[in-house]
Amino acid sequence: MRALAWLLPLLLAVPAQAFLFGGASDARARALLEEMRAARDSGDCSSVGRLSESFFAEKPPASLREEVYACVGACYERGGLTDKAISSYKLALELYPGNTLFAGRLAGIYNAAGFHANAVPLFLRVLERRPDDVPACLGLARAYAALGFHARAKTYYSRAVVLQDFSDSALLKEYAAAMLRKRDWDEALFIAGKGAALLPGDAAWTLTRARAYYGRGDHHKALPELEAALLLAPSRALRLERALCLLMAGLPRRAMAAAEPELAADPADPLAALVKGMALYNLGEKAAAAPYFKTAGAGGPFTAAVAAAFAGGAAPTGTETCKN
Amino acid sequence: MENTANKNPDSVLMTLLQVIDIRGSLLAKEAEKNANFVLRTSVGDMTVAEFDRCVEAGEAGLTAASAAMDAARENYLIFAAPRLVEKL
Repeated sequence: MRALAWLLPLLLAVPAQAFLFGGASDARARALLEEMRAARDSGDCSSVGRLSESFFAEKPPASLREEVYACVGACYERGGLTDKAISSYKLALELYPGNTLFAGRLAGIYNAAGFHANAVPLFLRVLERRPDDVPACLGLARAYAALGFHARAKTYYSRAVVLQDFSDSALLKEYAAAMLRKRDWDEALFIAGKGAALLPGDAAWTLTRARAYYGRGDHHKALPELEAALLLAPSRALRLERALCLLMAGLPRRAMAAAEPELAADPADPLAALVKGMALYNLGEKAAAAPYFKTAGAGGPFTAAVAAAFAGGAAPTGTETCKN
Repeated sequence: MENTANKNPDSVLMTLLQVIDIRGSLLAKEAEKNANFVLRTSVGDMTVAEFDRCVEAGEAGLTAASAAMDAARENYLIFAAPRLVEKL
């Protein structure tokens, strides 16, 4: 008993928690974590790496280590060190499988790098725990859309826009474009309506409506929408889209009239020449159409191939364009 | 579909399936010569008798088809445009 008496002052001098549970070490680890956060915010990744080594030497508790992995990963991400960020998040995810931040960040990196199939299970893991996580919904929608699973993409795009109460016009535009690609004309029209309510003067919504209408073959209904879009945001591409829509609506003379101002501005305009050539072709004036197809032949590969098909030339066959 | 599995058959059924698979591959190679476009899907280590992985195989096919869809659509348009415009 006397032998232990000298220990008492020592025990009183140090906080009991620190003595028994390594609190002093935790305090140092916390201080290092704060330093790491400051270094991360200033973009100093090498300091973050160096400090993390000292941090782990303190043998801090699991909750603090989890925060350090997040800090290190975020720093690598900001610094564009994608490989290091992936390694860091993957290790962190092995150690803390329930952490949705690591899964979400890793999935985001995979998505941005084009590894959509790798991103999908990670986003699903996030949504299993947090069904209302908008970035995860959006990331999963993008991954599914890129992989070609358009119906699944619709589920998560729609969840993301509903969670945001249709308040993000950029996201609505992305969703509408995805629905046009899915050929889901009704959903594209619905989203265009929501977008127009949010930003009435934006040509994107009238253009989405026009594309949904002519996507389902209703060219006459598409024309006024295209004309409204042209009033809001005039451009050569849109004028020629209207000219093409006129042709598809069975109005070749009006299509020619729409293409002519573009040809007057630039007689070598390949798309305008193609529209005029196709209108003449439709009217049975194949000889008159030939010089326009020749002009269109100088355009991009697709325009040139279509022009060659009209001119009776050797358009690229399926084997050249589709075999991989 | 192409797989990367290189397994020796371990039963009569697997031997028969491999014979069918080889014949199928030879026929597919012949058919490719006349095809307008070809979708070739890589299914990794999946083999022909793994019926429990049918969904996975289908999803791989859908992804490959989706990746080739733009080219196929353009190809179809190039082929169809003169006929389409003539009949408008």
